[in-house]
Amino acid sequence: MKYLKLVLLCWVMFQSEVFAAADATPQTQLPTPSSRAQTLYSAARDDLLQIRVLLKNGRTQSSVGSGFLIGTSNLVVTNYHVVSQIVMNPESYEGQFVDTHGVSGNVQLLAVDVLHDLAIVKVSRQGTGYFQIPDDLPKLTQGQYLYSLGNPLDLGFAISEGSYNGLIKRGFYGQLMFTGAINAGMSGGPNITEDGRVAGVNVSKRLDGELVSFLVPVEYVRNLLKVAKNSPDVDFKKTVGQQLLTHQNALIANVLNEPFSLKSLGKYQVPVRESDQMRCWGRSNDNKDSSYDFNAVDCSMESAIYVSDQLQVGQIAIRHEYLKARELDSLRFSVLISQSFKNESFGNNKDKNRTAPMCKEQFVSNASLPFRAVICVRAYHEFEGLYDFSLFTATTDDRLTNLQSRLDANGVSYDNGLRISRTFLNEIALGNQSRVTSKAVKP
Amino acid sequence: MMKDQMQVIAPYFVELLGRHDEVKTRYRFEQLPISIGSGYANDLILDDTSVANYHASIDINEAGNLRMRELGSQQGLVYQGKRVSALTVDANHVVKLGGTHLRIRSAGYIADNPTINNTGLAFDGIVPAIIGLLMLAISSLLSIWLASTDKFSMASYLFALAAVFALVMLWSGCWAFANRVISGNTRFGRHLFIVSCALVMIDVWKVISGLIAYTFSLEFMTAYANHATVLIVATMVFFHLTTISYQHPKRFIGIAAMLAIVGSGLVLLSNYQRSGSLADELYMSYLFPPELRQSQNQPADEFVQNAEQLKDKLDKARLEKTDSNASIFGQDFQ
Repeated sequence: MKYLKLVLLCWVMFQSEVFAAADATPQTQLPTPSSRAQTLYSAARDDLLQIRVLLKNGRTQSSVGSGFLIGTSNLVVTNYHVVSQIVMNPESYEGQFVDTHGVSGNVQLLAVDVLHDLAIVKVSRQGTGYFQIPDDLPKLTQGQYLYSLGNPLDLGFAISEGSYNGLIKRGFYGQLMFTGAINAGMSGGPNITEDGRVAGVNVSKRLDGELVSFLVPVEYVRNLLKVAKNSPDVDFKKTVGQQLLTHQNALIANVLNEPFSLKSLGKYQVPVRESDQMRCWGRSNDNKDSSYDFNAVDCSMESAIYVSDQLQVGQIAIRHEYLKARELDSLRFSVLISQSFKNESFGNNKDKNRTAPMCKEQFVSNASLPFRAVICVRAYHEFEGLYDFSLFTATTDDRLTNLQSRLDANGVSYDNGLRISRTFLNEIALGNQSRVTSKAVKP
Repeated sequence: MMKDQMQVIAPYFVELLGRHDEVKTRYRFEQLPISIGSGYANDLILDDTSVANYHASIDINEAGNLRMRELGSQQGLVYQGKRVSALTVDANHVVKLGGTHLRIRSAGYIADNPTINNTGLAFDGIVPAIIGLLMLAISSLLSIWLASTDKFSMASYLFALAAVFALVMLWSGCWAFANRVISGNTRFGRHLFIVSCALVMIDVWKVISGLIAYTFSLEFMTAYANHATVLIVATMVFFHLTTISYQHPKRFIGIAAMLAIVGSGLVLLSNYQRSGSLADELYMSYLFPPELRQSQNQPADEFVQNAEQLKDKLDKARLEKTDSNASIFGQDFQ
């Protein structure tokens, strides 16, 4: 199983150990700035801000990121995840900016784009006009120098040099790969070309890689700026909810617009989806002495939509586990598969963001196979119309082989959740379809 | 009745009783009347500050029955919670003088048939202990065998067996200790048998409830199976208690029932806190060989469509804002 090691670069105080540890490794050392970097930094520094989220109660800082003033306006671009606490919990949090001269002031949220991880805020000072978001955006070529600016680890403003390495589509929304150092606290800071044009916004880096960082392409900044200027939001939580609904519609349509690809697992055929966003990994027990065979396929998306620290949504995951008795009798095999079927978590009642799961269970049959099926759904307290769906099945066709499958769709509408569950459940079949279908059709 | 035939003949016995009506001291008197009080001029001197100097006297009435009379004290004689100035005493009447309980019997008293009191308690000693441990050993070895998918390992069987035995020994040891303190004998074998039976029944119940749930699609059998376990435990406690003392079966039924109710309540409470539902589990997880299935399968599409029914409940639950401090009491029983 491969775990995602992507971090968002908003620096939250209580995470300092994690980042301090990361800081000690050579990968995060900033390369010596070139003279070009020096020139860029001194030109840009007046429009560079640190964005802080403070607890209203006591005004202590809760997380910090970076931002930059657009043109000569008072609009500042930053990441959604930098200001997510203000969006999700405006009663408890408020924003503050600090510029490179140490001057600070209040921040007012104007627009959010949770899908691309962007936010626009208004501050009480004007830009000098250094960062421009023109209609014709810079064309980037692989290998060209880029510079990221921001305030890493709350240590002070900094610039880091790296190179552009193409558009990455592993997430749902394309991001630029920047082979340069981005550290926590630089989130929301600008990334510029050698001639000072904005290429993107610092957003995240891979923890398992060296200097593999990601930028939000500047075109989304341009789109969001239009929203901020024309129709500033009032209820940001509602906007986030709408954006998540839009996202899940596209996501489910994308998954269901063509049939699942079928992989064979023992005598069964199982539905999976492999795409740019979704990767499948296999595993097995590989033990010649074991009394049973175990094979599994896990497919999951490598990224989710960050809504808050506790809430990442908009993901689909598929898992199939195939068990076949080698030396086990049917009784002990039953105990084995029961244990495996039992060990499923659908979340508990302590989650503040979601309701407790509610489930339906039944013995069911599709055209090819009988199953024991469980479907559990949870709703989101903050977002109307969004649900987490989990479908979990175990075949009941054979005393000595068993296929257990699980589909998770997080943050989808009820209809879409039912739709993907139904499609998935109907796709699980025996390998030799024709023979079984004729058997099942029998009245 | 036998009691009616009992004759009142000398000598006479006054018995001072303890809290459970057990005899603490017995005094023998050759003749009547017998005077009772805390004063030293009495025939029977009671070391009880709440007993008057000259409290009561015992003599025989015209009908030839023993009679107890009060001699002018503040508290008098108390029989069955009521104050009386004089009463005819039967061999089983317990009279309270101040803080002292006493009973009067004459040489004509015929004790009850000794076998009556030992009904059901004869099953004690090494035989039930061995039967109990044997049942437990079979059931534990079976469950370990069922759960073992690796190569046979003697150690795992022996360790599990040792652990189970140690546990039941400890448990029955505690009961035997209580038994010894309260009624004088340990009855360890019987306590061991009781706990072994209960543990075996819990295991059997798990399999049976799972089997029924799987075979007939009756998921509630396992969803609330823990309550049956609680009932078995309460029944076990009842049998432990009646082993200690056979005198208060009704009281013990009450205690066991209370235990069952409290246990079930705690099960429900912890289920709710853990998963937001009162059932023990979110779904029935037993899978047996498919040949056992008896009930009809539902079409897959219909099953998914039925999940639509959850939506309203979820939307309602969604609006119940979670308060980080909300307890089950705050949320559910308002």
